[in-house]
Amino acid sequence: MNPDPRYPAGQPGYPPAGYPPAAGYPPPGNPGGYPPPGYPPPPGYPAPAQYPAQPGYPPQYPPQPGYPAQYPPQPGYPPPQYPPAPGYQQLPGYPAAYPPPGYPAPAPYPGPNLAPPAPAKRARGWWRRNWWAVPLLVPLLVAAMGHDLILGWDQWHVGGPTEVASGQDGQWVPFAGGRLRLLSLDEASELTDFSGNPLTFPSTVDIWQASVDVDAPDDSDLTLCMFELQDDAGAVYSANPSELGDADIGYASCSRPFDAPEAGSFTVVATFMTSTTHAKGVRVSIATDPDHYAWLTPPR
Amino acid sequence: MTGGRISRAVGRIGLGLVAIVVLLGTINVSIWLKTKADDVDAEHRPFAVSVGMGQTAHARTFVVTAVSVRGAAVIHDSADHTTPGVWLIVKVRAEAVGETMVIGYAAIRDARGRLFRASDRLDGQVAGTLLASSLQPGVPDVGEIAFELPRDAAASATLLLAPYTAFDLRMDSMVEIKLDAISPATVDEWATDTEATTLIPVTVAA
Amino acid sequence: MSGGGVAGDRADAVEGGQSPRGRRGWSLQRVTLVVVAVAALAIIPFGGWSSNASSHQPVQLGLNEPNDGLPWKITVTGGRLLDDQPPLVASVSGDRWIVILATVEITADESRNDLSDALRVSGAEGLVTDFDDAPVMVALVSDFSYGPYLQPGLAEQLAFGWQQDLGAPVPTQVQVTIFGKTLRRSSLTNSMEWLDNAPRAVVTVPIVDRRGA
Repeated sequence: MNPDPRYPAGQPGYPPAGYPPAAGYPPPGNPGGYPPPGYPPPPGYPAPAQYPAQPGYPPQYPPQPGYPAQYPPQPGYPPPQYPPAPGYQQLPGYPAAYPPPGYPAPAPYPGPNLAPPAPAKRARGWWRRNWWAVPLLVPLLVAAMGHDLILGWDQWHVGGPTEVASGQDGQWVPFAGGRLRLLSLDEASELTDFSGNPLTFPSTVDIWQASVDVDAPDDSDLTLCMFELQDDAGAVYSANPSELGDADIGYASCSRPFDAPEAGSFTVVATFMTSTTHAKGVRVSIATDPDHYAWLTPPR
Repeated sequence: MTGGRISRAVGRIGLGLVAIVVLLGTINVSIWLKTKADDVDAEHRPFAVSVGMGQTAHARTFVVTAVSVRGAAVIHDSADHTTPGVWLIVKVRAEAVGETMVIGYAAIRDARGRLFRASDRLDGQVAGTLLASSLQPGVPDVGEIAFELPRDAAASATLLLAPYTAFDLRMDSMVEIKLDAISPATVDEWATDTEATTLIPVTVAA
Repeated sequence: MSGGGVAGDRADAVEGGQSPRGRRGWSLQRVTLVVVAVAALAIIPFGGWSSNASSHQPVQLGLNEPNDGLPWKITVTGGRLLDDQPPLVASVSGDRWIVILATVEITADESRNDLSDALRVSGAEGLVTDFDDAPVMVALVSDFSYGPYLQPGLAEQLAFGWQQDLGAPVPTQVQVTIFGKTLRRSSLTNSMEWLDNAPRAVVTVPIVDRRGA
């Protein structure tokens, strides 16, 4: 557009208002897009598309030694020690010395716990809380079982006499408030019934008779004694067996027989029936003391 | 919302009650279970030693063999003893082991499981024949034991023998000897035999 | 009444510290229903709702009428008044004897010798007995064995004897009570025992005077 040189652009009032644009002016499409249609775009257009960013581009500038440079210490920095405020004592070596003299050193810092955490942390905690129950089990066990164990031992213990009072062969043995002596222990050959008729037994059995001297004061427990024969195999036979119920052998006991002297010892014969065996000695026990018995052996 | 609050309180009380009832119920059910399962009689039963007739049974404190069986309608000792059933008389050979002992308990068990104790009507059964006799170790005795039975029980009988220390059978040996079967005809014959019989006295066996 | 349920639950959750109690909540009806149901079930181990069996009244019987039961079946057959002469031996010589005759059959599975628990006599004065009114004598009529074992399945005639003071009036009739026992587990020993001796029949027995016979 060639401005009228007589009218430089920018004159106020120009273009005058109200004037319709001249016919044909501006030409159609003008000042439309540039480049105007039909005209080729000037070289250099359009702008190239944005180049995609490439890895490593733009490259990092490698760190350079000495960069960034240490700020050189400036004179006057750090500022000089502030003088102590008036009224405050300056302790010798304060604040340089730590801990201040006279004070104990603080505990060294333990540092970070670099060890890995204990894996069974929970279990150990439970045991630490409850360990006392384990040693408590011992008295509890004794309390729970002890009574029954003692009862059971007692029952076994009274099942038979276990404590022996014994002496030399054929010598006096003190027992149950009195004393006893085995005079003889022999096989008996002839037994009769109460009518005087002889009794016979199979050859597979033996009849043993023990002659016992009994010295039992009338008030002693020994008067209630029982006689038993013990053979070499350990079998125990009671005196006056049922098989000899018909035999005239007398009843073996430690009560004073009616035909014995008023005081002193008397002799009792106890009769036993055994299988063919060898008699070893005589046991004497009393019903009131199940634990003890006297063991009498015959003189040699 | 008072209705809601009451309902919640009642619900909590109810829950508490239910908990108590369930607890009591559990305790009672356990007690019931325990007493039902706790069969003291089975725990303390005697140790059975089972043999047939003629075989030797080894109990803890004695050794016994049933030798023979006979029957009768009348047994005579100091008086005549009759029975509405039949007398079964078993001859037995026995000896003690280790120590003098007494077989204090004898019974017949029939096929139905009924127990017939040895009759104490006879003088001998109380004192003098095998039941009351002491047995010596190694010395065999032979004697008879008499039982009073209904006729149907005699046909199939098992003899039970045990020591009766302190009248207690628990946890000691009990010998069970299965007696030979007896025909009902034989039982009837015994039951109608009018002749009285006597028990043999206890003797030491050869 | 379940209207409070849902709002109540939400209020619970809002209060904090309580988990929601289910969608329908515990109304009074439900609580009562559950308590009654659990109580009904909890009764079962005690033996249920059945009444105690031993609360039966003794049966009235006449002479020669059998009374069956455990551990014995007893038929009282007669009553006698007798002098003190052998085989009867009274503790006080010369006393009278009231003897009840009965047929006894053991219905239990084992021989029994506790027949002194089976009968009791009332209606006669001056009886010499122990604290429990047991007969002084129980004997088999056939051979007069005292207190013998009775065998299961065998019916035997027994004589039950009570000693009576000479000074007491002569009875013409007595009431005989028949007792029975129950086989049950003892609460003390936990083993099966015959316990609970309880009356189960009463027989009116005329006493026949046979003194001087």
